Amino acid sequence: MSSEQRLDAARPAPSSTVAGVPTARVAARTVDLAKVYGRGEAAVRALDGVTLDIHAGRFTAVMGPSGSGKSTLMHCLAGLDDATSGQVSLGGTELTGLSDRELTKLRRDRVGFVFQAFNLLPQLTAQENITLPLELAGRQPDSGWLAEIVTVLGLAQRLRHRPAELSGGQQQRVAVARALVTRPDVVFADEPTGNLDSRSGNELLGFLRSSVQDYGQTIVMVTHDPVAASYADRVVLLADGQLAGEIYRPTPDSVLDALKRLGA
Amino acid sequence: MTVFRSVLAEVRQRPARLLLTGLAVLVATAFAAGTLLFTDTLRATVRDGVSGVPEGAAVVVDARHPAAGETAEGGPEGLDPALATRVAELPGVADTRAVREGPVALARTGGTADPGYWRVVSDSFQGSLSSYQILRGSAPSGPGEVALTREAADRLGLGVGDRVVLRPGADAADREVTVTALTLGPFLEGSGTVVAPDDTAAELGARSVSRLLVAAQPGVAPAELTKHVANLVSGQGKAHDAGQLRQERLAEHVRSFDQVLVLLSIFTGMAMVSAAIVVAATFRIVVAQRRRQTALLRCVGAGRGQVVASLLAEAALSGLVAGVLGAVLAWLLGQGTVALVRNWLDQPQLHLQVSLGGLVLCVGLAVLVTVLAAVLPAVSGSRVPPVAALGAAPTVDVGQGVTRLRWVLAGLLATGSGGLAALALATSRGDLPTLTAVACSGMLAFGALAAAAPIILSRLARLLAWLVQDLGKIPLRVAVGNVLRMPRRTAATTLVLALGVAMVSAVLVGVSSARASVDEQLAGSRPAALVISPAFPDGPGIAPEVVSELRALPAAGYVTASTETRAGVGDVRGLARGTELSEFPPLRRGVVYEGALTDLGPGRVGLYKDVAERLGKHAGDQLTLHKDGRRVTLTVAAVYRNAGSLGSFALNPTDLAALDPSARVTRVLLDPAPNHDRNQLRAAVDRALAGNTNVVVQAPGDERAAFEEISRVATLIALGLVGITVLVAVVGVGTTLSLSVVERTQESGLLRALGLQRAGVAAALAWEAVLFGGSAAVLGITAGTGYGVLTLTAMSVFEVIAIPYEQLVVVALGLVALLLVASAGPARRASRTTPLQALATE
Repeated sequence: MSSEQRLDAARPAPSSTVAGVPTARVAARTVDLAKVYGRGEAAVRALDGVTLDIHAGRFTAVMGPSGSGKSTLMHCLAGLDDATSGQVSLGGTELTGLSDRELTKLRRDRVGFVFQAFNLLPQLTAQENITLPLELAGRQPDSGWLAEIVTVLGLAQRLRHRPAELSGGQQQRVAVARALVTRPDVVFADEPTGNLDSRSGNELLGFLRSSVQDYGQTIVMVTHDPVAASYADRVVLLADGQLAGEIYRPTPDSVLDALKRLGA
Repeated sequence: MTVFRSVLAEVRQRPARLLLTGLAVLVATAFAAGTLLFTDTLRATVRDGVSGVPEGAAVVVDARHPAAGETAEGGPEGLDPALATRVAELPGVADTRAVREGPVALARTGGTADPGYWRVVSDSFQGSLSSYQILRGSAPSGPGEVALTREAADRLGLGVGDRVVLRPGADAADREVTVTALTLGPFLEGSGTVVAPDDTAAELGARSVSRLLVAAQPGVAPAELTKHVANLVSGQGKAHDAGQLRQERLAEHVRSFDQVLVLLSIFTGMAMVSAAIVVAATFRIVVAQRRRQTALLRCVGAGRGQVVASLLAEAALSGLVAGVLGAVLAWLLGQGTVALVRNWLDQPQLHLQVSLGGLVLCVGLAVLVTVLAAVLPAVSGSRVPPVAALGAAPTVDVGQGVTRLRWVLAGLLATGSGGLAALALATSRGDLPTLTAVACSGMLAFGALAAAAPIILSRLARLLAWLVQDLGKIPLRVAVGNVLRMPRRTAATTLVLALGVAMVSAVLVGVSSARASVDEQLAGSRPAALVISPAFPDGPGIAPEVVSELRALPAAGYVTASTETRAGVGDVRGLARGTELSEFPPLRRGVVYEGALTDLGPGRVGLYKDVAERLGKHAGDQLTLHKDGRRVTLTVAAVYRNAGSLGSFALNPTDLAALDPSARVTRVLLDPAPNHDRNQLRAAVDRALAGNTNVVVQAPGDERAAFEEISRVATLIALGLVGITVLVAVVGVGTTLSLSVVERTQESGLLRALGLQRAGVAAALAWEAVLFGGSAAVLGITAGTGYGVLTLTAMSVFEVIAIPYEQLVVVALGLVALLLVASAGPARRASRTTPLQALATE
């Protein structure tokens, strides 16, 4: 696809190869990642040797039954949680071994988040919520870029409102704008449509899709909804903390089939 | 029962929470229990202390006129010394002792007389009729040996073996004596007492018998004996039953302690009210946090009454724990203090008095206050609709729509408060109704503030945030948002804080005004670097040769000697002083209401303000002064304020001499010569007057230092009392912040996920504390200063009102610092929030 090639050329290539895994552009990567909660008999292996590349400029959905480790995988990738063993890298930076301070800075500058529960600060206006990560970094917002995402997300008339005065769909669009405003390496979305009605949900997924298409944004979305997953370029399936397959150019039906095979 | 079980389960799950809600009550209870322990201990100490009436006395005969009323001309009044022998012959009398007493001047060897009032008292130092107990050294036995009370010795820096000069009267000779012992005298009677055996005391000026102590034989009823003695001494003195006298004395002291207890109770009450406000705010938070849980309980069938009951039961338990801990804390502090004081003073009688009933009462009070404070939050908390259990329910303040009602209420209260304040100012009589008006005005103002607080505070917080906006970006913005989000919660805590700060500010205004007034008074009454006065007020005054010697000192600049006599206009009598103002220009600096002090001179008179008011005289009027049939008619030249140096009537010495040819010189004022300083002048005067025990040399600086000491202690006590309320409030802010941290876990997590460093999360909480503190400081200092000034003006307590701006700034900064300390724990907890907690939906 020509637009993808153009984007590939426009974006600087991140560090390219890990031994034996040939790929052109990787936004994030895990190698033999394991995460164990608890100790001794009560130990739970949430992730058990996951090796995965997240392609840059693509929309990746992570799916799996409850307890499959999909959320834990996202937390590790986003620098929210540390790995028990194995490696995680984001945009060429090795995350394992970074201090809390460095991880915080990395999240601030190179990661965007969209949560299920919207998670806006109630005391700030929509605009203040959107520019929060930039302010935390002490950077000035790029006014052209800000205007563009605000317009695209249909928030131009809502910037001075506080979260309590916005609908759920609007709140989640504010969260998306906040995630995009720093032009992060990766946007992580955790069940972003979980609290939305289906119309707002589809609208939001459309926005996420077009941010990948139009701006070359890398997005990783955790979801259990096959319809939501069908907006992605690729679906990664997880079961019992291990990779259980992947689907390129998914449709709701193909995702549903795959999940059924996993026994979800 | 179910209710109580669920409370216990809640407590088991979060034991710290129980303590947290009751922390403010703990502090207040500790204060209440401490007050009780303190007054009980004080009372017991007095009861067990050496009484003014010795143990062995059954009957006490006091002279009709106190020995201090003895005049220079008349012979010694008091009891006939032979009375002792006559009383001793009465049936049933075992022993008698005549106590002699008389004024004396005391000086260090080679110095001038000490400014204090001194007396010589006789005592036997042994047996059951002795009033003085030897603490150090051995009882004085021969002539030239005396004992001093420990208080007096401490004040002068004297010890056993030191020598001092005593002068029994203006016309008597100096006697150098040795201090052989330090004694413990009757409570509050030892500040200037020299104790000696009978003969020595008589020689040293204890000429009159002021008291006769009578011991009874075993089996004799004191009341019966008192009757016999009374018959014998009637006309000369009054016989008291010693037991009764002791009881009366004790009752007097206890009454004064009861007054202390009442005063302390007022502050205890304020601390308790503050604690109640804090507890109510805390419970409101707890209830808000449990909204979901309460709704769930309601879903499964709990009645509203059950929900309220469970919250109140929790409050009672919290109050009980806080009360018991508070009482224990007070007891521990009391033990520590007593141990400390015992090391300091040799007061073997000091034992901590613990009345179990009183402590139980304190604990009961703590429970009551906590439960009462929890009623409103519990009732409003039970109003959660069961359906709230199903949806996400963010915490919001209820009752935001009553802004207009708040304004109206606040306006009414403020108007009432202003009216009362105006009334108090208009009357300014300094009597009880005026004080009541001021107090009521203060209470109404507090009510107005309480009504309008949520609105005022949000504006104030925004203003403060705007002032400091360049200092902190995101953390500050988050903090402002959090403060504004819960206006009622913020208001409650800030209000208590402001109340504490207001009391502290008012105390500081009072103290600084007192200091300024004393300064002015000292400047007025002691306008000179040195003031020389006679050691014996009824003596012949300062000898003319002493005056000329002082005038001749090279170190002396302005010198003036003023004469005095008592004179009157009609039946208004007062001290008339003859001063040549031209000799001592600084005297003209006094505060004048009418006329001018420069106009004083022969034929003119100056009047002290009160005297002028009583006489109805003004500058330019004429009046006639009379003394023993002599009359002088003078024109009023000035009405002034400071009577200390000019007297009630300020005359020229020639006019005074016309009124009273025998008027004595009673005051010499000296200022240093231009090229000399005060110390050189003091040294020269001390040299010139060395060994003259007939005069007292005083420098205003000495008095100033003595006043400073008293005012420092008084300030510390006052600040300690009002500080408890501040402490309760600070604890309240700490509690509120801790609970808010729990409430905002998700938000903190979000900020961390978005890239705010740990320090940033902590900073947001610190900023919140700063905003609390800043708002409370602004409100409290404004109100406290205003009411301090109002009270002082209306009560006409002090002549000068001084606002201690630097101290108030220190109070504001101190408060903010205190709150930062209180916020440190919650801030640390908040900064430990992990970004993952932002993702947890519940």
